[in-house]
Amino acid sequence: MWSLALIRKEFWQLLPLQIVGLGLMMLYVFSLCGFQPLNLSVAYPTDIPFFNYTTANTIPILGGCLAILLGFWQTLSESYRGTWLFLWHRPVSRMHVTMVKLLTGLGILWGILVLPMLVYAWWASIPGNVPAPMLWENTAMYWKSCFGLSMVYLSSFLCGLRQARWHGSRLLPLIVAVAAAFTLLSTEYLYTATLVLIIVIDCLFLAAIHYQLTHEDFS
Amino acid sequence: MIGESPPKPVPAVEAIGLTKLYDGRPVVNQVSFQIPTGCVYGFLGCNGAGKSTTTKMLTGMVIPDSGSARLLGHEVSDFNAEIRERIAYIAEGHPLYSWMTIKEAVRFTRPFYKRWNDRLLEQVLDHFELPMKRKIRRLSKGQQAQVSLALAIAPQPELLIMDDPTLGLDTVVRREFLESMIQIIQRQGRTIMFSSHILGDVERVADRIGIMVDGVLRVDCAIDEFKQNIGKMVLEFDRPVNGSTSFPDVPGVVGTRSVLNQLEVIVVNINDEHRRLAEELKPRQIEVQSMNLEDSFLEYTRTNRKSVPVFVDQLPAEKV
Repeated sequence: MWSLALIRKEFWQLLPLQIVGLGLMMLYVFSLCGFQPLNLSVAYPTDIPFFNYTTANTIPILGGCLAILLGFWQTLSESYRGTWLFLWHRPVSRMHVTMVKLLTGLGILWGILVLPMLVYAWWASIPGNVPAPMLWENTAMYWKSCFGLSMVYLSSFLCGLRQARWHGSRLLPLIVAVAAAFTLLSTEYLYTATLVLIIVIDCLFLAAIHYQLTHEDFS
Repeated sequence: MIGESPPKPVPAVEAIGLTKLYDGRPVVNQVSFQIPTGCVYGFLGCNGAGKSTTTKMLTGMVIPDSGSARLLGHEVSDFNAEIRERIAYIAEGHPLYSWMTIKEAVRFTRPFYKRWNDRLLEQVLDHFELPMKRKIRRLSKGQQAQVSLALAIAPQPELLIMDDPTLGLDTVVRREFLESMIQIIQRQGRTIMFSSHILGDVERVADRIGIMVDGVLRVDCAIDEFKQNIGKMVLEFDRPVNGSTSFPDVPGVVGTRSVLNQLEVIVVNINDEHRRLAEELKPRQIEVQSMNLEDSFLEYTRTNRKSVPVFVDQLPAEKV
């Protein structure tokens, strides 16, 4: 299956980023659990798991940086090596190849953000570790943050794909996505509406990526 | 019963008025040509002549501003997976994932194809003595080109398009690469189109040539035809002609060049009109010379250099 081959290739190509991202997340989670590896005070144990400033703000910032790096890495590494020409000539449509790349990128992003926090949730659910009980409904904001970072990731992918000038309009999609993420992920209200808006913005970025793939010169 | 004429064979490559503009300037201008099936087509031109852009338009990497192209009888803009599987494309610089080993590159590429021939691939890799476990970035440029070729031909394509495949290779590796390419690919009537700016490469292996000059396809014919039809009229005068005498710019005249008291006029298909115009300039002597392929190519691709520089000590004393 070509898709498996492509996923494997993307996974290996993004390995340095995954290691760094996962390392930072583990450092953060360990700090939340009260372990301070290397004596770095990254975060502190909280009274109510997932219901605090750090998980509401730190994760979107950390995850946002990771999403930007992933999106650019996946596109610019192909541009600088000239391997778009190699990839696009395979007997598969460009959109199919891109969808596999995007799903791999999103999978890695969510994997890095979710897996360490599941470890934290498991630790927090053990009686005696935190004063308050571990309630899953408290994780809603966290899941929304993870989901909303798809906007930042897709916009970065689009910026990497576009051939516009860096000091011109090239970064415009990313600026729009960061503004949208800042607005939508910081509110606790209108939960369903913000989810719908995130999906709509994601669809717009996907449409823009499709347009780029069919109308952009690759040289 | 009237006998039906056999259907006209579909050309492997057909370009119709391909044009590409960058910043409003045409880098490829109304390029049209056909490559018959089974032909080795050498696409010549200096750097920046428009070879790469034309090649990329043929493979769908660059979208033409006007015109169209058909490969194996199918519109490039409508290519599907099945058609693309029948066409191999090696881009300039042999782009591959440098962090992969050869084995990994093969493992990555193979699943995309239905007609992948492992035996052929092994034969080619053995022929080139390529170490499977070596990372691509550790290979020489020549070896990277060989890996590209091996990956391109393993799906047994009917048409192979290569964009300057010998760029950056030394003479020995270049010759070996081209000979291997012909030996491996051209059997069973496959078609090859490759661009180059090295005439020797093209002359050695191509049946037909196309020459691009400033985005325009100036020549598209068999190599022998090109060599036979281009000639040089040497007009010898009693006086130095540098800049003072010029030949009219009529159809067929490719270029003129003056050297001391000689005016050289490069002409395609010299005819009576050219001879008459030459006699009107009242030279002391007119001589028609044939040209070899290299000189012909140089004259075709020469731009704005109609006069060879004359050193001061070569001029008559009174002019100095």
